[in-house]
Amino acid sequence: MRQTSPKSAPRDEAAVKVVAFTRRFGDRTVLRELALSVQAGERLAVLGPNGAGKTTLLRCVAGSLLPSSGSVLVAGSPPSRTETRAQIGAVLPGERSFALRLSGRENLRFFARLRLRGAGRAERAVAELSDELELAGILERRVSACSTGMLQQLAFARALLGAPTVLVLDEPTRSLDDAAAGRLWAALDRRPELAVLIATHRAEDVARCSARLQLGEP
Amino acid sequence: MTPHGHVLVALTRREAAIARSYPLARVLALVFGVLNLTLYFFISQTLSPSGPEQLAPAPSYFAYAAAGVAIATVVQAATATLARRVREEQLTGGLEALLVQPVTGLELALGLAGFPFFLGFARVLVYLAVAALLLALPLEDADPAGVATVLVLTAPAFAGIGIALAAAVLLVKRAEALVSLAMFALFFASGAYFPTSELPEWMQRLAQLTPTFHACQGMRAALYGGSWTDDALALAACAAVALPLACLLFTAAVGRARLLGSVLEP
Repeated sequence: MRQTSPKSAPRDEAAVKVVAFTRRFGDRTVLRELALSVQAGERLAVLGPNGAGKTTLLRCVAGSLLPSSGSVLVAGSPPSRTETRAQIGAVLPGERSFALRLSGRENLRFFARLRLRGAGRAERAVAELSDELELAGILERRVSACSTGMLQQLAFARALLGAPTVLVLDEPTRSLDDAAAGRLWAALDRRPELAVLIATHRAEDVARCSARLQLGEP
Repeated sequence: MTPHGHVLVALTRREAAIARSYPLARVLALVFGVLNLTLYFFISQTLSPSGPEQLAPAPSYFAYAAAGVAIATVVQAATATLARRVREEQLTGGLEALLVQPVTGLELALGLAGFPFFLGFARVLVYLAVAALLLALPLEDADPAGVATVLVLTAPAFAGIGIALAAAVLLVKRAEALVSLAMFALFFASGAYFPTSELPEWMQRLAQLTPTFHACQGMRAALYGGSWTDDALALAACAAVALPLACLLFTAAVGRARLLGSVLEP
């Protein structure tokens, strides 16, 4: 069972377009004059050694960081716009980004309510994702009692809430067992229109992508 | 931009659920509040004010300070609690998880502030009930509508300050000290715990410009049979000016944090 996507970028518009993108932190330039384009249905593997700027790029696409110069556009609009962020789902680093004292279900329900009007719609979205990603056991646990892999599954489910058109995934399979990684890729396969940017060090993940972007030295 | 109700409700419900998950902390906070009131009760029993008329309309020093404690509870909820929550979210990565959602800075500020207000109101009612039942706080002249009006107007009047402090926390490392300083400044010269007539004249004039002064004076009037409407109007004016300004400031601070990368920076 999958959520339907009511919105997507027009056919001739890139789902994600990055132009002359530079990001500095103080005196340190992490990414310089980067350009890329990801179409709907395309999966881009973002590769590079630690510190190459993979997470920085993904954060700028997700909207938690702004470019120092240049532009990042999702479906033609910057992610700093609230309406644009409704089209983006993100798995970013931060295992404590959930309310630790609440259960997985309470956490997912909260994020669903931010994206979907109506408690009923939010509840249905959580139930559908629970079935699809086999999260029942995780959802009933308090997040503080979840393993890193469980939290990654929960974070992936959160990214799918509200049927985004662009997914930004930072090492989403790093702590997953084979079965959970399989469910993640199966969920992406069921959403062929999604544009996906995935930072990864795993060859199995790269093999499932249609394009690669190498940052820093390979 | 008008905040979306479903976002505010979601944030408020989550804050309530998190608070419910710490039952001991809630009990301890209540016990602390009651002990705090008891402290002023015994001070009032021990010391006599040099000029009791300075306390009017409060009939005793305990009654005077109890109104200050009630207001301090709401102000604490409106200011320090909000700034602390933003800092916690910043440290855990929860703030980034929120900022990649379709949520505006305004919604975030108001949503995180909502539950502490409700909790603050509830605590005030408990404190006043305990003080009346166990410590003989005289509430026979209290005007419930006045008490409710002053409390309800105190929240937005101070929310502006709380949201501005939360904005500072987003951008300035370890800005918690600023929050403590602001709390002290708000209460020192406000007449919360001693009459402002004890202060130098220039400080008395300054005190009358603070919302704390009007909140405490209005609460005292509502509790002990005075006129609270002028102070309520002053609080409303303060809220009308400070709240929109602070919301603009918070939204700008969120944008600046996105640029600086301090959404995550501990």
